[in-house]
Amino acid sequence: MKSKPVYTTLTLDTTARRHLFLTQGAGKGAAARALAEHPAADVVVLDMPDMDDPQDLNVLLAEAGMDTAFYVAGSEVFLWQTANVLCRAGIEGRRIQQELAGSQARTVYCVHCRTLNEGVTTTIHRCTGCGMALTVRDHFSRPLGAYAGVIVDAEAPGVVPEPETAYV
Amino acid sequence: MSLRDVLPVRVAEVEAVTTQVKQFTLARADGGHLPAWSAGSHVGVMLKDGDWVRRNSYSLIGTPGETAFYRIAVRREDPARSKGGSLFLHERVRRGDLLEVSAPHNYFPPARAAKKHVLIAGGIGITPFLSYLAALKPAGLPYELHYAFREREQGAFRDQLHAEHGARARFYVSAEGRRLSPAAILRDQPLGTHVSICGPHSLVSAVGSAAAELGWPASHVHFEEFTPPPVSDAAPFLVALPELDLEVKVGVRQTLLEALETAGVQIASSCRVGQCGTCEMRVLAGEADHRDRCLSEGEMADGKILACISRCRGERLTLALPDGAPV
Repeated sequence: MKSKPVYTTLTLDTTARRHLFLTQGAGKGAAARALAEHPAADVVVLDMPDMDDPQDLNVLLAEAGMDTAFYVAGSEVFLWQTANVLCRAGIEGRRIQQELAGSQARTVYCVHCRTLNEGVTTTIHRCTGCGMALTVRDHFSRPLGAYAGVIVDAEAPGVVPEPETAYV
Repeated sequence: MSLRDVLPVRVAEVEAVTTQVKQFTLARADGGHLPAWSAGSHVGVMLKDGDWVRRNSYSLIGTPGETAFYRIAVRREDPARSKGGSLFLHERVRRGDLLEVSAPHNYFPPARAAKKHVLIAGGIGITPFLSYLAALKPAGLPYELHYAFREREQGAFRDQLHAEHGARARFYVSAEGRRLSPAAILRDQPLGTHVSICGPHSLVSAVGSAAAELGWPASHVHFEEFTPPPVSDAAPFLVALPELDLEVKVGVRQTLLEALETAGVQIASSCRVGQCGTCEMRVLAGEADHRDRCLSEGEMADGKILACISRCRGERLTLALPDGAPV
C-alpha cells in the first residue's frame, strides 16, 4: 500500500545548522540515541506529552529558520499531528524525520461514520461510533494520521472474521 | 501537442528594451489563440537560415495565461560566445516575419508550498521572474526580487519592476560597485522560504553554495540556467546512429544535439541545458560523459544519455534514437 508511511531511525541531518527534536513518550529515547551518535551544538529537544497544547512548539517555530532540521519521535498520532503543524509552517518533507517510537497501535478512521478510533491493535475493530465491524486497512491518511476502517461484513452480514492482534 | 509539434507565429512587434535586449511579440499566424501557459514557462523558438538550424528556449514574459500573444525578451549575446541564435533574432527577424515556436513547457514553476518567495536574477535571467511576479503579487504571497546587472542602462525592465514592486524589488548594478551578496539575502529568511535563481552558471552556483553553507535544505533552492555549465574541456567526437546508417561529427563548440540537428536528425528537446530529460537517447557503444542534472545514476548505468549536454569520453559514441523518433 503506497500510502502506508515509512518511518526512519532519527539521524542527525548534517546539512542543517540547528536541530529541533519533538518527542513524545518513548520518542525521548530516540532523540537521545540520535544525539549520542552525532552530538550537535545547536539542539533543542521539546518533549510534548500533550499535543493539544502546541504553544511551546509555536514559539520554537517562530524562532526557527531555514537552517533548522526537524526530528519527530513518538506515537503515530503524534508524528502526524506534528507533521501537519510543520507542513503548515512551510517546512518541506525532506527536512522532517519521523521515528515511530513506542506502540504500533493504529488510529482507525471509520469511513462510514467518520469516528476516529484510537489505540487499535487488532485487524478487525468494532467502531466506537457506529458499532460496525471494521477491517483495518493499510490505506493511510496523512492529514488525519489514521488508517481507513471499512465494514468487513457487507457481503455477508454477521460473518466477521476473528480479530488478530497485529499492531502492538 | 507533442514536444516536436510547432506553432506558426507572426512577429507582431519588435521593441528595444535596452541596447542589448529586444522584446518580440508573437501572435498566432492564423489569428487564433495560443496554448495557455503558467508562470516560469518557456517556448522553443525555431530559427532557420538555409541549412543552419537552431532552436533556442526563451521564457515567456508578461501575465501567465495570456493566449492572444506570446512575448519573449532576447539579449544579444557576444558574437564570440553566441552560437548565433540571439544574433539571428536581433539582426534578421523583423515585424511581420513568420517564425515557429513550440508549445509552452515549464520546468521552472514557482514552488507551490512556499510561504515566501525570494527571486534572484542575473542579467537577462530576469525573464522568468516577470511572469512569476505577475502571479505572486495578486496572490498576496510575500516575495522579494534581487536583480543584478552590469550597468544601469543594461537593467532590462528595471523601471517597470521598480514601479510595480517598489521596495520589494532590489537592484544591484555591478559597474556602480553594488554587488549582490547571496549570503546576505538568504541569512535571515523565515521558515518556509523558497529561493529561485535564474542567471548565468556563476550566479546559480554562488547562491547554491551560500544556501548550503547557511544550512538551507536543497529542496528549497530552485534554479534555471540559461546557459549550460561551461565546458572547458570539450573535445570533438564522432556519433554513429546505426538505425540511420549515419555518422556525425560533434565539434568542440557544438552540442551532440546540435550536431544531430544540423545533420537533419530531429530529436525532441526542450530545456536544452540538461535539466528536463526530453532529449534522452540510448548508448549502444562507447563511453558517455554525463553532464546533465537530470538522469539518476541508475539511468546512466542503463545507458541513457541526454543529447543536449552530455558528450563522449573518447572518440566515438554509438547511439540509438529515442523511441518514436522517425527513422
